[in-house]
Amino acid sequence: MSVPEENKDSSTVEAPVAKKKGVPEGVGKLIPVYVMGKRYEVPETLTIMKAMEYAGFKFIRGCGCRGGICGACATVYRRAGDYRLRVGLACQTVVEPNMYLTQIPFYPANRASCDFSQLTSSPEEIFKLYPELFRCIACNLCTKACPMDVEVMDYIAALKQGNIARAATLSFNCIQCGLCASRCMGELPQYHIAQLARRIYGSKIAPQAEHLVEVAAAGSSGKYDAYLEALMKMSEEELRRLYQEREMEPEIAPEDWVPNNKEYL
Amino acid sequence: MSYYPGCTLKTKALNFEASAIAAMAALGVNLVELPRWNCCGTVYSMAEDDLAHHIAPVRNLVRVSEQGSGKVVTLCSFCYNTLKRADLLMRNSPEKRDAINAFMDEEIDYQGDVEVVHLLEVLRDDLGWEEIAREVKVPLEGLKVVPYYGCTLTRPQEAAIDSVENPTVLQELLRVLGVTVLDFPLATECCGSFEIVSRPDSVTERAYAILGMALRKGAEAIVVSCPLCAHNLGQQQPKIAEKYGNFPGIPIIYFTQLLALAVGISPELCRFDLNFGEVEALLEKKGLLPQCERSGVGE
Amino acid sequence: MIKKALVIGGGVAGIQAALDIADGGYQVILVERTPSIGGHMAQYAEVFPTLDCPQCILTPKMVDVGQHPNITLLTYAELQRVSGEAGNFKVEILQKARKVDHTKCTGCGTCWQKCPAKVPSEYDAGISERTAIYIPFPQAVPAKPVIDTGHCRYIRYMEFIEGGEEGKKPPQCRICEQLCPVGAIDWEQEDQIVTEQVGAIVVATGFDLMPIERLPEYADDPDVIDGIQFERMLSPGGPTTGVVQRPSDKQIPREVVFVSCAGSRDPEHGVPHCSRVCCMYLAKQAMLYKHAVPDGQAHVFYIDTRTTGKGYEEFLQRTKDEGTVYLRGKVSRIFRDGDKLKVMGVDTLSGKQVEVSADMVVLGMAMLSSEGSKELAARLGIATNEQGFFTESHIKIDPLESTRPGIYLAGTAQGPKDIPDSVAQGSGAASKVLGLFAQSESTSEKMVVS
Repeated sequence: MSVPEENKDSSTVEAPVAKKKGVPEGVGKLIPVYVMGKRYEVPETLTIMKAMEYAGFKFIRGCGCRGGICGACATVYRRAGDYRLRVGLACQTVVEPNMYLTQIPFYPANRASCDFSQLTSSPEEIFKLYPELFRCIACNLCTKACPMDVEVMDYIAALKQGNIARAATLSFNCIQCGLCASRCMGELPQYHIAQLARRIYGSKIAPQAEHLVEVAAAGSSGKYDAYLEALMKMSEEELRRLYQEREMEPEIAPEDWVPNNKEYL
Repeated sequence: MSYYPGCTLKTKALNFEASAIAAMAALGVNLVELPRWNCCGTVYSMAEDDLAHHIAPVRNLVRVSEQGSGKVVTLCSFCYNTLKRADLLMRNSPEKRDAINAFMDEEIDYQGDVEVVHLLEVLRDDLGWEEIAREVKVPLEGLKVVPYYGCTLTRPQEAAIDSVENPTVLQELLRVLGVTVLDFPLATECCGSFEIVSRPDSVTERAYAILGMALRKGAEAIVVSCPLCAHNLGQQQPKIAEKYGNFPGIPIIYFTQLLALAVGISPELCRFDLNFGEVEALLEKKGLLPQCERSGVGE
Repeated sequence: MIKKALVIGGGVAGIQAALDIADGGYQVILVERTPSIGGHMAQYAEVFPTLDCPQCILTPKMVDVGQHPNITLLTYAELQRVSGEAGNFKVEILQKARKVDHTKCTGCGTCWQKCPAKVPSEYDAGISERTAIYIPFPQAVPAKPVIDTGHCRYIRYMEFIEGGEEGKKPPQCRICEQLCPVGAIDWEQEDQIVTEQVGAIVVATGFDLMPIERLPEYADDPDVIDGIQFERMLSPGGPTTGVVQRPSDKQIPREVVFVSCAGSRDPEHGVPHCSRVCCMYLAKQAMLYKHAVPDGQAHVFYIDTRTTGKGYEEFLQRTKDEGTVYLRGKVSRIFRDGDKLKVMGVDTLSGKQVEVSADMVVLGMAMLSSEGSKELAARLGIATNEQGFFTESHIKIDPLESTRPGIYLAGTAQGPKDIPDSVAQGSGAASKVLGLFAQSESTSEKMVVS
C-alpha cells in the first residue's frame, strides 16, 4: 500500500488508505460527502445510494428497485457553499464533492381520503378533496424536480381547467416519489392529486374495453365458480401435472388460435 | 388571434366561451386557444415585492410570445386585469422583470412585448361598430337591459379599457345589436363579491342595490362580461329574495351570448342552460330566437 | 427707470396693488380682460367669516380705481407682448373693440334693457342670461357696456351679408343704436393696440374653478352645481334674488349636499393641491342655505376642515351648531333617481356607507389658475407650475417675485388663497414695485432662487 500523497486540492485523495472488504483495488478518485454532517470519503463514480452503502450505511427504508422507477429513494441534498436545496433519486444521482446528504423515510404530503365508489367524474370532486389545487402559482418548481420528466405544472393546470383526461395522460409516468411536493410553493401534494385524477379517469371517464366488461360480468355471474371449486379440491400432484401439461399459445400464432382442450374456455 | 380562456371559462362559464368563439368566428376572427396556458392567478397581487404571484400571468405572456402573435385577447375580466397588469409591471419595472425572467429560467425571457386586450376592445377597435352592425342578422329589438362592468375592466386607470367612471363600450356594442340599453348609474359599482366570506350580509346588500336599481329602471336582464359578476349576482338573488322580499329576480346574460344571437348563431350553441335565470324563456317571449340556424363555423 | 407700473388683472388683488402703487405716487395701468373690474369677489353672496357683502366692501375700491388720477383703467383689454427688462418694459396691450364709444356713453342702460339677444351670463356662472350689449353686473366699473360681437345680431347679420352666405337672412336688429340717446354705438370701432412703457408689472390674473365635466362620476345633471353658481343663487342681487331654487324645477331644495375636495387633493383624477378656501366657503354656503331655508338640511362631506384664518374655526363651529351635518368621507358617485339626487358617500368616523337623497348638490370644485395663464406666462417670459399657477422666485422667502425680475405676483394667480391674503399680496406686490422705483437706476439681474 502506498502512502497517500499530500494534495493541494483537498477535495480528492489518490488511493484508499485501507483496503475495504469486498471493494476492488483501484476504485478511482475518492471525494468527500457529508452524511448527517459527518464527513465520508467515497468513490466519485457512485450514486448517492451506493455511496452511502460504501460509507457503511444500510438502507432498510427509502430504498426500492434501485433502478429509478419505484420512487422510494427520494433524496434532498445540498452542495457546500450553496444555499439551494436540490432533490433527486438516490439510486440515480451521482455524488459530487462536498455534497451534504440527509435522509428521511419518505417525503410527507397530505392525502385526502374519500369513498371512491361515491365519487362522480366531475372535476368538482377533485376540487373539493384538494382545494389546495388553487394555491398553485405556476412556479414550475415541481416539473424541475421530477426525475421522470413529468410535466407536473401542466397537469395541475389541466385539472384546474377541469380536464381530468389530460391530467391523467400527462401524469402517466409518475413514480410517486414525492419530490414535486417537496418543492411546491403552494404545498400541493401533486402526485396524490394526479393519482386521484388517474383513478377517476380510468374508472369513470375512460371508455371501458367491451371484452373486459364482458369477462368481468361473466366472472361475477359465476361462470368460473365451478372450475375454481374443482381446482381447489385437487391435490398438489394433480395441480402440478395440470400445470406442466398446460397448452400455451405459441410465440407466433394465427389470430384465431384456440387450445385443443376447450374445457375451461 | 391568440385567445386566453382562463380556468373559469373551461369549467363554470362554458356558455361565455362557446358563444364568444362562435360569434367571433361569424365575424371573421378565429380565436385560437393559447397552447399550454396556465391559471393566471385571478387576482393581481398588489404587494409590491410579491413576485412569486406574478409568475403565473407572466408565464402566459411568455406563451403568447412563443406563438409570435404579439397580442392576446381574453374574455374573463379578471384574467384581463391580471394579465394586463402583469404585463405593465414587466414593462415598467426593469428590476422585477429581470428577477422574474431569471426565476423562470426554463422559459424564454419576457420583455413586455405582448398587447393584452379584452374582447370588447377588439370589437370596438379592431372590428368597429359599423362592421359589426353590418353582420347583425337578428336585431335584438325590444330587449331592455342594463350593462354591468364590474370592477376589473375599468380599474386601475392604467389597465382600463374605457373611462374609469363613465365607460360606454358595452352600451355601444349592445346598441349596435339593437338592444335597448337603459341608463344605469351603478354600472361600475362594487358588487361586494370579495367579502363573501368575511361579510356575507354586505354582499347581499350590495347585490340588492345593483339588481334592485336594474329592476327599477325597467331592465329585463343584466348584461355582464365576467364569470365572477355572473356568479355573484346570480347566487345572491335567492338570498336577496329571502332577506328583502318582493324581489322577482333578473336573468344574467353574457354580452357574447347576445352578440352571438344577433349575428345568427343558434341558441343551443350559446348554452343559455348554464345561465342564471330563464334567459331562453325571456328571449322567446321577446321573439328573438332566430328561425334559421347557423353554426358559425366557416360558412 | 420708467416709474410706471402695469397691473394685469382687475380682481381684488390687482385692484389693491393698483391703488397702493397709485397712492405711492406713481402711474399705474390696470388691464382687465372682462368688461369690468371686480373679479370673482364681486360674484359672491356673503364672504366669510364676517358675512360681509363683498360688493359692498369691494365697490368702494373699484370706484377708487376708476377715479384715481394715477390709474389708467383699460377694461376689455388683454396683454399681447412684453419686451425689455425690469425698469424698462415695453408692453403691447390689445384694447378689444367695445363697439360703444365710452366718451359718449352715459351708462343709462337703455340699450341693454332692450337688447333681444340672450347669452349665458358669465357673471352669474351660467345660471341666468345677459344680453349681447351688456355690463356684467350693476356695480360694474366702468358702468358702460360692451357689445359681445360673437352674439350680437347685427354683427351676425353683417357677417351674413359680407360673406355672401346662403339661406335665411338673420334679423338686422340695431335696436341699441336706435335707442341710444347719445349715439354712442360705433360699429366701425376696431381692436386697437396700445403700446406703453412701464418699469414693473404685477400679475394678478386670479383663478377659475375646475369645470364639473372633469368629474363624470358626479353626474351631468342641472341640480349639481359648483360654488360660484350657488353664490349667485344665494346673492340677494342675483338671478333668484336670494331665493334658493334648484335649477331643474325651481323647487326649494330641502336637502342639500356639499361636497368638499371635488377635484382637489386628487392626483389621479384631478389636481394634487388643496384649494384652500373650499372648506370655509362650503361652511359659509351651508350656513347661508340654512338662513334662507330654515327647515332645510345641509350635509357636508369633507376630508379635513381647513380653517386656518382668524375667526375661521369659530365660524365653522357655528355652522355645525346651526345644524349642518358634517360627514368625514368622500363621495364616490352622484346620480339622479327620479326626483332626487342619490349621493353615495361614506362616513369614515363611524365606518358606515352613507347614501343621501338630496335635492341639490353643491361641489367644492378645485381652484385652478385662471384660464389662459400658461399662455400669458409664455408672453411674459415667466414660469408656472403644472397647474398654471405662476411660479414665485422663492416659495418661502420671496413669494411675490416671479421668475423674471420686475414682474411680480399677487393673489390667486400665485396659488389658491382667500380674500384677506389676496389683498395682502396685492399690497405686498405694490411695495415691491415701489421699492423698485425707489432705486435711482435700473437694477442688474437679480439671482433667481429656484
